[in-house]
Amino acid sequence: MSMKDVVSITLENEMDLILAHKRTMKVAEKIGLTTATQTVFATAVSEVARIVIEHTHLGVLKVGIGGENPRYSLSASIVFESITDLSRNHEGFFYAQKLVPEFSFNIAQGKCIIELATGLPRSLKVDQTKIRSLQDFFKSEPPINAYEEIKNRNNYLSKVTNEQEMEIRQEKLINEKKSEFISIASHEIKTPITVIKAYTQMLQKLKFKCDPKVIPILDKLDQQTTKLSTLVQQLMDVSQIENGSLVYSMKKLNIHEFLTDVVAMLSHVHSNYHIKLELAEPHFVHADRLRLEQVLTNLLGNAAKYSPIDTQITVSYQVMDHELVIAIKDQGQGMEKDSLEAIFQKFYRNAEVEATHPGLGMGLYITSKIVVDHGGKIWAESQRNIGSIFYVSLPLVVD
Amino acid sequence: MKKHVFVLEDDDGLRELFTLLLEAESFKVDTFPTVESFRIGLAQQQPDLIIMDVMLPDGNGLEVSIAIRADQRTSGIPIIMMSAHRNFNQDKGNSPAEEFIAKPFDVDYLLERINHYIG
Repeated sequence: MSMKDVVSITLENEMDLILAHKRTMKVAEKIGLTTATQTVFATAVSEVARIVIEHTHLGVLKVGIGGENPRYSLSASIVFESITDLSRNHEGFFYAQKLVPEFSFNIAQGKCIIELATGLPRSLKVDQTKIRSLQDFFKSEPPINAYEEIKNRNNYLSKVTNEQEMEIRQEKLINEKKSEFISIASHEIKTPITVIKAYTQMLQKLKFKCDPKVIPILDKLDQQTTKLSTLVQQLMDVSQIENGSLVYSMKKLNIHEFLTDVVAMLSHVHSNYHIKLELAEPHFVHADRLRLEQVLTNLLGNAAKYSPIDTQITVSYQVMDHELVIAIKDQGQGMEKDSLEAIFQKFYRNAEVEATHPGLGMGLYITSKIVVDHGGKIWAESQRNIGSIFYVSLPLVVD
Repeated sequence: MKKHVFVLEDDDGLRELFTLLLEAESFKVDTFPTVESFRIGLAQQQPDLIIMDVMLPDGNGLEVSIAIRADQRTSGIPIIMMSAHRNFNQDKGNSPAEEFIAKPFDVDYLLERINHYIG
């Protein structure tokens, strides 16, 4: 039986019985049935509702118009989770069944559905328009009593809460999907980059066999491929940070040797800058060598990116309060205090440099995450047009 | 006799690259897109070196490398594992491979490592 709902009442306690009765009466009245028929139908409905409320407070009553043109009926359905000690043989149901022409009791998928109906005479001229106006009428009907007012408000609040909870779950799911997508996409993109990079290097090996004009072009091609590959790597890192799958392989590391190696490698990359390494006595930290190398590569890369060429970048370290503090000092453009606080946030880009220095704002976010995961801290000092100093502190390994 | 290299890699572009790169260095190269085809190839021939990817359509390179090392007939063949995954570091404990090289790789470094084993 397909029914067009006009009113819906959750059956929670005896107060709802009064509501069920009054609302059913009102629907029957609005549709034009006689007072006698209104009363009989409403009595049958509230009798069933009474039995259901005695057994569960999770039933739902719906009153509306069932059937099809031209045989419409006034219908009511009461649905609740099926209960073992409540069968259709309950004596109350026999009483209700005697009151209405149509009565059915069905159990499907763990739900118990009781349906009651009484045919509507053609003289009432029920049609879709009339049903629609009936629905609209009850939608704007004020509450019958204070209880219904509170119940309506409660229903509204719990509906809003449910929707919000669903939204949060949905959002979480979308975020997970997004991370997974970025991870798969960047892995896929890496494969053609690997191929392009290898062919570029193969071409570079053959450069003396071709026109000298080709050589600088090949170098540019190689540089840009490296840049692209770094960006994809950063995307992968961010997605791993997001889903918590960033793992480290920690080993005892001699910082003296580590910095010497890394600075030698990076001096080659940033050959337009004077990179100076100020070494102190050897100290040890626990670190993932590749990840710590990534931290240095990023900080030195930034120092070069925001400094005029031919300037000096100084890498130094010292011990303070049982911690090793590495400092990377440049003679670059520096930044304002409000930027200093925001630069470690994901995707942050300073408005001033956004147009002049391309980037996605991932580098320092990843860097700070790696440092924090090593039990360390990262911070910066800066002065406009004088330069910036980035500090990384790491816990020392004491023998 | 030319040294013989097996490449297990599912990406067409990379298989073609390895073939061009290694043939230019006078190696004999056979490439396989799946673990299944690789197993058949390995049953018929005995290469001097194996280069393989970790993530494959019908299996995992780490497991394949363990099987190669466990089989007496192939246990002496050096293996170079390659992967585009950053957590490659962790794989080292799970595979008997001699080398782990991350993608994108440096051509000179790869050739240097290959020559170290079969040069």
